[in-house]
Amino acid sequence: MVAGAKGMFLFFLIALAGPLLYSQQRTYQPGEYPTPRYPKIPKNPTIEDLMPTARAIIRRGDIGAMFYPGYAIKPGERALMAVPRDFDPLVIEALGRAIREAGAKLDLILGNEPYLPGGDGATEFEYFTQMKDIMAAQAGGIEQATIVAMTLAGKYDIAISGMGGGIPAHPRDKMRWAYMPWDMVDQFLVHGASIPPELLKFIDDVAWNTLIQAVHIHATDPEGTDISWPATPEDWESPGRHTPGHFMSHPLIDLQGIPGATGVVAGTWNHTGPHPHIRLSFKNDRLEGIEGGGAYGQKWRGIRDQWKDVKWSGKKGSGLFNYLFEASIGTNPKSARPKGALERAMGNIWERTRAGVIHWGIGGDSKMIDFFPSDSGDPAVAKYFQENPDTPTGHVHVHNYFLTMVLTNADGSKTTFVDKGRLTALDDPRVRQEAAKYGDPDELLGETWIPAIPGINVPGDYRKDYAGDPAAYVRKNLANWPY
Amino acid sequence: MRAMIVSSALPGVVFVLLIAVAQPTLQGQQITYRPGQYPAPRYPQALKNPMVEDLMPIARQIVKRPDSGQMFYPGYDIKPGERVLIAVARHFNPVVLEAITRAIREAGAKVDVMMGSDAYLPGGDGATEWEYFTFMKAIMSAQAGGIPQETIIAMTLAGKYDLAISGMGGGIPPHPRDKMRWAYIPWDLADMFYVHGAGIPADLLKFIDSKAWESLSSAVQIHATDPEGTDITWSPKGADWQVPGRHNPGHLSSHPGRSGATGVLAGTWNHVGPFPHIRVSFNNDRMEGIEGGGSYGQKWRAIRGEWKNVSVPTKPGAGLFTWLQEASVGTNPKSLRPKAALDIAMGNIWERTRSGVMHWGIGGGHSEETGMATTSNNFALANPTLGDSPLTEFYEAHPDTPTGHVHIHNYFITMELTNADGSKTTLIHKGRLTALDDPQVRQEAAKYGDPDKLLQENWIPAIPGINIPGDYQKDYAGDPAAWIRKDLATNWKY
Repeated sequence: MVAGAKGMFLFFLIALAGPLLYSQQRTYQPGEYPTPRYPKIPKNPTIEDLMPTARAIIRRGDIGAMFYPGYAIKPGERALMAVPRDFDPLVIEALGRAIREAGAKLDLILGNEPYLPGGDGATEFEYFTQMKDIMAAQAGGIEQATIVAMTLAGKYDIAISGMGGGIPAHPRDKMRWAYMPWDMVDQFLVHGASIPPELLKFIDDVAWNTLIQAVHIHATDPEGTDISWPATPEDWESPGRHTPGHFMSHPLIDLQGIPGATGVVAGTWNHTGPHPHIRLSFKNDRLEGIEGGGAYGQKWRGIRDQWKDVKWSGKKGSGLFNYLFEASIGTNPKSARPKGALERAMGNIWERTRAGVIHWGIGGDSKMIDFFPSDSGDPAVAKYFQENPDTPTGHVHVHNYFLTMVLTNADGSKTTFVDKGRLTALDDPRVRQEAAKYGDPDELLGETWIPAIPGINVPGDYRKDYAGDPAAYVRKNLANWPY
Repeated sequence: MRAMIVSSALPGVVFVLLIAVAQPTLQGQQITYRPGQYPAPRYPQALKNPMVEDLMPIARQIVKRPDSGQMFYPGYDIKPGERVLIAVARHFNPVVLEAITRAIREAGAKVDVMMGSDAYLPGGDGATEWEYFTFMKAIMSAQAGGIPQETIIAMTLAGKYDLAISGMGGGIPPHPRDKMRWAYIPWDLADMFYVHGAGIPADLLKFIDSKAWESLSSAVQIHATDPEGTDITWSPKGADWQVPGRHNPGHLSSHPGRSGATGVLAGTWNHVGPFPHIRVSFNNDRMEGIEGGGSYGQKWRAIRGEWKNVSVPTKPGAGLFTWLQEASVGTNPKSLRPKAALDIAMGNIWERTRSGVMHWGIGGGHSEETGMATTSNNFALANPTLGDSPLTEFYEAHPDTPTGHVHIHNYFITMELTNADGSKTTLIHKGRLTALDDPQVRQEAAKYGDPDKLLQENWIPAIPGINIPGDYQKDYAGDPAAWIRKDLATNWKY
C-alpha cells in the first residue's frame, strides 16, 4: 500500500511536471519583450526596386559575413551562376543586369531540381543528415565539385552558387567562389544591402571583442532555454569561431578538464521550419534527453538510438546528433525570416543571422567535423566515413529569438551580450557613432523583423496558441505582414 | 562647236534615260497580279498564348525521337538516367524551355539549363546579315547568349553530361562522340515550336525528303525562276551530288559544287530579315553585279570591294561574298516564317526549311575540285574557323577575314530539272515542292492521317502583285518590312 501511495505520488509529480517539461508556462506581460516587427518592402517589387541592392552586391567586396556576399565584379570578367530552377527570377535578373552594367558577363545555370519544400522542421533530418546533398540542392542538384569543374572548363573568373555550409575547394588562383543566397525576393530586398558593409563589420567587431572576454556564458530564453558553458581565451582563438555575422559562442574544441554545456535548449523552429516545442537537456555538452518536438523529436530519438554506438578515433563519446557543438549568434539587424519561410526549405536559415537570434546546433561531436567529414582534415574521421559512407553527417538545430546571454568575464564582471533578443553591441555608443556616418542610427540599427510569439511578445497562451503547432500560428500571422 | 556639244551631250542624255527606264526592272520585276496564278497566302494556325500543357505533346515527341538529321527537326533520344545540359540565350521562350525540360524529366533524365549572358541579336533588318553572318563563330555563340560552342563542349565534358543541347544551326561543332552527344534547340519562339516542332511525323518527313532528293540528284542542268526576278541556270556535276553534306535532310543543296551558274537572283528577304529588292547577277558562279538592296546591297558592294583580292584556300577564285555556293531547297511543308520574325535576328531562318522555299547563299564559293575534298569536314563550310583543314589554317593566320555567306530567299520558285536522258522534271512549281504530290508520298502520308492536311503548307507569304492584289514595286519591293508589319497586324490570328 505504502509503495502504491509512493507510486501515485510520483505519477502526480510527473503529471504536474509534464507541461513544464513540454514547454515553458508563460504569461504575457506587455512590454516585457520587444513587440513584433515586420519587414517593409513593396508588395510586388519590380526589377527597378531591386537594382540598387543588386548594384551594391556586385560592387562590394566580400567581407565574409554570412548571407552578405559581395562579388567585386570587374569589367571584362565572366561569371557563372548556378542555382535551382525555382529561385526568384527577379533576383537573378537584377543581379545579371547589374553584372552586365559593370561591364562583365553572367552565364546562368538553372539546376534540374526544384529547391526543397519547406514548412516542416521535421524535414531537417532529411536535409541536414547528408550535408553533401543539401549543398548540391542549393544548385538544383549540381554538386559543388561539378560547378567548380565547369567554372574552370569554361574559364570563368567567378562561380556564384550556394547559400552556405562552406565554400568548396577550388583553385583560388584560377577562380573565385561567392554565395547566391537570395532565393526569395524579400530576402534580397530586406537583407541584401540595407546596411553598409563597413557598419556591419564594425558591429561585428565590437560584438566579437565583447564576447571573447567571456570565461563563462549563461543563456536563457522565454521558450525554455536555460544553459551555461565555460570558455577559455585559447578557445576563442580556434579557427572558425569568428565567422562574421555568425559567432560561434560555444567552443569548437574540447576544453580539457573543463565541463561542457549543461542545461536546457528549447524552441519551436530550426533551419528548415517550425516544429512542436522541443526541449533538449545537456550535461557536459552531451544530449541527455529529448522531450516533445512532434515528428522532429520522434525522428531525432530514432536516429539517435540507431547510431548510438558509432565511434571513431578521436570522437568525443559515441553516438550521432547528441553533442552540442554550436551556439551561434547573428549580428545583422536587417536580417529577417522571409515571408515565404514556410514554403521553402532553408527559407528559415536567414533569420539566424539577425542580430541577437541564436541557433543551437547538435551533431556528432563537439568539433565542426560534421559538414564534410572527408574534408575535416582529421584522417581518422575521413577513414571512418570512407568505410561507412551511409553514416549520417551534419547537425540539426533549434532557434531562439528572445535570448538573454550573460557573459562572465575573467575578472568576474558580467556583461549582457544579448538582452531579450537585442544584441547589445547595437546600442554601444561607438556603434551608434559609426552608424551616424551612414544615416539615422535608430533606423540603421533597428531590427527589421521581430517574430510574434503568443504569450511572449503578443497576447495569448504560449502553450495553447503556439507551442503545439507553431506553423499554424505563423500561417495565420502572415496576414499581418505588410507585403 | 555647238554641234560638238550636242553630239557629246546626247549619248549622256540617252544613257540617263535608259537607266531611268531600266531602274524599275533593276529594282524588281514588273509583274501584274493575276488571281490564282500563284498560291494564295496562308497563315499558321497557332494558339495565341500557348501554355506548357499545349506544348507537352510536341516536347515529348522531340525528347523521345532520335535525331533524323532534318534541319530544325532535332530529336534528343533521351534515356532514363541521362544528364543533359541545355545552353540557350536568355531571351529563349520560357514556355518552350519549360516544356522541353519537363519532357526530359518525365523521361527519367535530368536537365540543367545554362543561359548565356548576352541578349539575342535584334532582327527586322536584312542589312544586319552583314554583322551576323560575316563572322560565323560569333553568330554560333550568340545562339547560346554569347557562350562559344567550344566552351559549351568543355563544360559538358567537365560536368559529365551525356548530351549538350544548343544552337539552331550552322553546323554541329567537333566534339568527342564517345563521351557526349550534341543536338540543336532551334525553337526560341513559341510558334516555331508549336507549328513546326512536330507537325509532321519524322518518318514521313524523311520519305518526302528522300523522294525530292532522288529527283534533284538526277539533274544535269537546273533552271530556276521566281516572280521576284530570279532567273538562273546551272549544271551540276554528277559526282558533286555524292559529296557529304549535299543531301542535308530538309535543306537540299541543289548547287552541289562548281556548276557554272549564270543568270540573276532577286528577292527581298534573307536569314535575318527583309530589305529593299535586290538583284544579283552571276556568270559561271561568280557574281558580276549587285543592284538595289538598300543598305543590304550597299554593305555588300562595300565588303566585296574591300576583300576583292583575297584568295582563300579551296575557294574558286579571289574575292569574298562573290561566289554562289548555295541553292538550298526546304522540304518540310509545316515550316514557316514565325510571327516575330521581324523582332529577333534569325527569326527568319525558319522559313527556308519550308518545302519549296529556296535560299541562295553567296560566299567564298565551292572548290574547283569536287565538293569538299580539300576540307576535313562539312562543318568547315559553315564555320571554317573550326575543324582541321587548309581553311582553318588560313583563318587562324588571318583572323580578321570575314567568314560565312549571305542570303536571298525565294518563295514562289519554279525549278526545272533536266535529267541525263534529256527528260525534264519540275522539282518545285510556283513554290510547291512537287514531291508532296507524288503518289508514293501521299500513300506514305495516309499511314499517319489525311494526306491533304499533312502535305499542305502551313504558311505561304502574301506578296502584293504576286499572290495578292497590289503593285509589287510600289506596295512591297521598296520597303517589304513596312508591308509585312501591316500584314501581321491584319491577317495573323495569334
